[in-house]
Amino acid sequence: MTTPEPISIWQPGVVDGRAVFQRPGLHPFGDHYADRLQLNPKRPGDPARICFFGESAAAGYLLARHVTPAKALQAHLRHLLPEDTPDVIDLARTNERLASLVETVKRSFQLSPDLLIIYAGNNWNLLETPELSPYFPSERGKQQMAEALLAGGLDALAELALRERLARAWRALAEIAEVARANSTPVVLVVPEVNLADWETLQPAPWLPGDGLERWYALLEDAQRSLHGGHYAAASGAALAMLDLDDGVSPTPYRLLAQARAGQGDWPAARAAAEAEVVSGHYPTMCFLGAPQASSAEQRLLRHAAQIFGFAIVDLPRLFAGDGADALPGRRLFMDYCHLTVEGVHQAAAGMAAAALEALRHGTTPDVAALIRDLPRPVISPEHLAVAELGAAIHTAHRLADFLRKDELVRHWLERALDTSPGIAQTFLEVVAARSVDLPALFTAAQQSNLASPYTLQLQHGWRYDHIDACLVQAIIDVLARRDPELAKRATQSLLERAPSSADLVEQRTLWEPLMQVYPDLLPARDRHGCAFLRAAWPRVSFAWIASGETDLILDITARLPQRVQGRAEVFVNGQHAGGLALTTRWSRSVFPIPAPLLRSGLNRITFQFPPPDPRDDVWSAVAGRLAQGLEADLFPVFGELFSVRVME
Amino acid sequence: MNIVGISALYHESACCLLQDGRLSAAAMEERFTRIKHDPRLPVHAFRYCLAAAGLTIADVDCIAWYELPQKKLARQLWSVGSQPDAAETAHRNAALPEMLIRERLGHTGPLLFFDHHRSHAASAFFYSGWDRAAVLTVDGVGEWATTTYGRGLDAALDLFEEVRFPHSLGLLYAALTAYLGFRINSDEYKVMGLAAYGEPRFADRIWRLISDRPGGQFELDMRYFDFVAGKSMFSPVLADLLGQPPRQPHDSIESFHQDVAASVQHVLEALLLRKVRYLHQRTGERRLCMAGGVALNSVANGRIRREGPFDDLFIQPAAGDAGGCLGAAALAHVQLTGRRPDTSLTHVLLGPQFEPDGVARLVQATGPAAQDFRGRENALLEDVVDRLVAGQVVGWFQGRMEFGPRALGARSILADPTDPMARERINRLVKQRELFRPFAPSVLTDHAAAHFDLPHTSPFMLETCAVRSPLALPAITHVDGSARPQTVDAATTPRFAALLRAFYRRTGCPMLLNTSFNQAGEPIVCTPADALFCFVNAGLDALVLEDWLFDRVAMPDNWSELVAAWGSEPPVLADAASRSPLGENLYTFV
Repeated sequence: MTTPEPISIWQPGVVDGRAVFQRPGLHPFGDHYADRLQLNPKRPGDPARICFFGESAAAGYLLARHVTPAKALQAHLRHLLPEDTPDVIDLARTNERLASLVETVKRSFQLSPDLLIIYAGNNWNLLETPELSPYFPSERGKQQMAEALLAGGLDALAELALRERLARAWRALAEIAEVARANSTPVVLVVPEVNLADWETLQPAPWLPGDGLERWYALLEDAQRSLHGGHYAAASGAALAMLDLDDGVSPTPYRLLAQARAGQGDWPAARAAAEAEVVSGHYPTMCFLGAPQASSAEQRLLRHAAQIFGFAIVDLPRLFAGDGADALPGRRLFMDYCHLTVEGVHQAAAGMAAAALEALRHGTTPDVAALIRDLPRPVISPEHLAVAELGAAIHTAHRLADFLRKDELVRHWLERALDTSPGIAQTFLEVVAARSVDLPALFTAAQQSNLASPYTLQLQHGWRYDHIDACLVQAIIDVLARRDPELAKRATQSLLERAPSSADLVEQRTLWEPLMQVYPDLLPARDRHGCAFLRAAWPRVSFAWIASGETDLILDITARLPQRVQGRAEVFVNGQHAGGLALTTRWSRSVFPIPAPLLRSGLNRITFQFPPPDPRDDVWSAVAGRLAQGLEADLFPVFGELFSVRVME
Repeated sequence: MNIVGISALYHESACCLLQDGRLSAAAMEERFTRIKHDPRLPVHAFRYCLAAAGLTIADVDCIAWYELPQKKLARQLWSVGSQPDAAETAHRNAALPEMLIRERLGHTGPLLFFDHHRSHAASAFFYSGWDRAAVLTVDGVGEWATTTYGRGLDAALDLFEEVRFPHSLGLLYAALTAYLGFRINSDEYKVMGLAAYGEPRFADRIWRLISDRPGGQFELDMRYFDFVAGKSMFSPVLADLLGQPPRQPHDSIESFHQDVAASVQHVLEALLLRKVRYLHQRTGERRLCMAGGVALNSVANGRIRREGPFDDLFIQPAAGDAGGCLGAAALAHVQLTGRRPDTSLTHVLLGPQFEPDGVARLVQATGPAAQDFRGRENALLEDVVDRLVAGQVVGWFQGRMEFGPRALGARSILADPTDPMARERINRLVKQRELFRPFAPSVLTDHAAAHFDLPHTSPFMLETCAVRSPLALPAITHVDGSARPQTVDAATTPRFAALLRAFYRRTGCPMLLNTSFNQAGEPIVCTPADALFCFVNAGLDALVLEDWLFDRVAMPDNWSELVAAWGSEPPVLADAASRSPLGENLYTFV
């Protein structure tokens, strides 16, 4: 007999003389695993077993542990097979990677499963090929990139990363197929679908030749303006012109195009553009935070793997399109970029139930549409649902760049949470209180208050994030102001009470958009230890400052334009122009007063707008040269750099 | 003239700022990143040093680096021979320091590089406050030198002799540290603490590893070592010589290990004493300045002080590589101005401090968990004394953080040194460390001589001496009757001195047990939040955070559970491929 091995976090042990697998206890902030404390090896007479694997979407992120795909599948199967209900063992976990997925599948055979269901693909992004990044400490990877860049430009680089990523995913699926075949266990693959309607990927342009960069950003502004004005043909034209300039390596023009096509009512074209956005979002620069979403390439790979390896399939893109309710999958099914709503979980679980019945040979294949219609929806209390909806707002505020509809989406989830359970308004105040002080939330009085309420926020709801998330805080105040002005006043008061009187804004906490950091500057690799200053890869960068609004501010600014001989950075306060700074390639320090009339009581948005870098035509050979030497290299231009923005009230 | 000194990319990294020759700030990067011995470019420490002085990158005139990268590379390449570790090649890049300084710190101005041991020597001499002295530096290795001998005279620093790699006292000690099952470059002080329990019965065998040579020279017998090209500090021949296999980290510590530790400590002290006498003879100086990692061996330092030929001794308090930044900055100052820095290192309170209003805002955000002693210092001190007398262990967070490895009353854990249970309790519960390791006392300067064989001040806790107190001091007296005191005066740390005085008034004991405010494996706390985490995790009875006091009894019942949950990363299967290089808070993907 072989020695039992851990299955994910379930460790082998013995209870009452019986070998079992037990997980660590649940802790108050939750974790990324299912809540079943003990897994027992199968015994004769036990019902059939389904082991369920996958990433956060499979783990029911935001809704866990009240509603998860595995629990919904279990409930559906109980309804369909009340006498002989298979046991669903949930081994899905947030942050699942290919290597650990394969390992967990292999070890799950200690539980003698009769069926494996795998719902994965959203995480198969550039972190599966980290060496193909101009920042990761792999000389060989950088040299491979240099070769690709010189051979075919950024397209070839993107192709290299895609090819390598898919190859690794294929190898993982082949390994799973081999072990499943050896155990005569059928496999069901769930092809992920993602939020194509609402989720937007805003990434800066890479270096473009000539005046391409300036034109690209001008077109971006045109397209945004046109979309807001309902001029979809113009927006579409601008987006296409941007694609001409960047050859499709940035996802941003595709999002604009998707919105324009949707506005024009051309839904197939909108879908195609949105799918292209997701593919392009895997752009292998590792420069900017992106959302994990399975692209059409991963979807195709999963379908092909099912054919080759004889797996059954639950095709969520087709299943979600089946009821014709949405022109593009959006917030009805998704709480963010890929995590399902209760309705999304229900539909996915119905599809999985049908596949399970067929794989376990329980009669003919049921009609999935009928199952979706007839099976009861997963049940969740209003309090838990409202917490998930608030979590969706927090997640969206932190994870989505301010592009076209971020504010609207954040407000949507806040409003939904209040509609679902009005008592969650108090939790909104707790979020504001926790975010307004530079102290881990767990030490705050807000934490104690939240734990004592029926609306306890956990890690999955973004409770632990140490960023002020100004967009969220402002949206909370605005939403409360419409429903209960007194609460809105308390939220603002809470901000003001904890506001420091001086600070340096060049900190992660105060950046208005958490996504507007150059991502590798945050990587804790050995030699690559952040950067002492903020590199703005965007023409504009904003900070949050909490002010009384009654006194002037003094900004002590140290800045430079690293890639432009000279130019002027404009400063805006809450959208109003406050003046400008003459800058060069050398650091300069200047004192910049902001008069009180430009400020408001509470959150203020201080924005720096930099001029475009000087055109460079030799950039790729320079980049390739650095990569070939094993050095890191930026594939994007830097508009401005801020060493410090010290604020004194 | 604003000069930034930096030491990084090998041991713990650090940064300092010299303003017109005056040292205004210094900090180790580990305190900000919370990664013990963090060797990376000190980005946070750099930002801190400038901010503390109200400067920015635009005000920096020069950055000084503590090593000569090209010279070091030559030694590294010589060491690895034909079998370089591919993963290490990026690290073996002589251009890396300059590239990082230009690209990651953003400095475009003058950049000066100085020899590693010269930086150590300068960190000792130019901060000693003496206009002339002999200088001794001893460590593992810099570029090629492992030990240097020199003389400082005003702005001149003449290093006239060196011992070259691989012959190294630091590496000898490190090899035995590894043999005894401890981590090198980290746990050497454990060997020193263990040595007091043993007899140097293996000293003859240790002497076979190293031969004294004329002048300042010595040589290792490289048959016993494997650090030049191999993957280990010592060769199997060492185990043969000592008669037992190397101890594994979790093996119990037997008398054999104690005796080996005593033996290597004995040999180190003996050799150092000989070399110090040689240096005295060569220079004729009355005073000695020391730096380098081996200068943190406080037992050896005590003997050099008592038995050596010099009248006075200054050991730079961050004597390890972190302190190299001080020397590099001083050398740059000399080079650029022709004058020595106008600074004398009388204290190391050079790190971040937190303004009273800011601390009040943080504490008030915690709710009613803390007592407010603002404007009532005496009441605060009496309350703390009550607790110490009652056997409580107290976290003490006041003012600017210390630079260097020692907590000296700004980020300290305190207890009653007369309490026979204190040592065991702190070792087991708070520090989770080996019971053999001693704790040090902080004593009022004017009372030190009454309790210790210490006829001089010792503000940096860098020398051991005999305890000769009329009091029983079980918590701070080592098994051999020694202690490693810090002398405290009101001019440097007024509130800490006032606490000691209050404790003395109440108990007749003018000292407290003082250990660093951290748990095993983590750096000393830097911020109030770090202090709160440590207070809760370490099971301290109370935390004094500036003017506020957190009482364990009054803290929310669930803080321990919450802190444990907060700090725990989601567990993952133990395969390297599944490990993400990202922190939880970045949540790149879920």
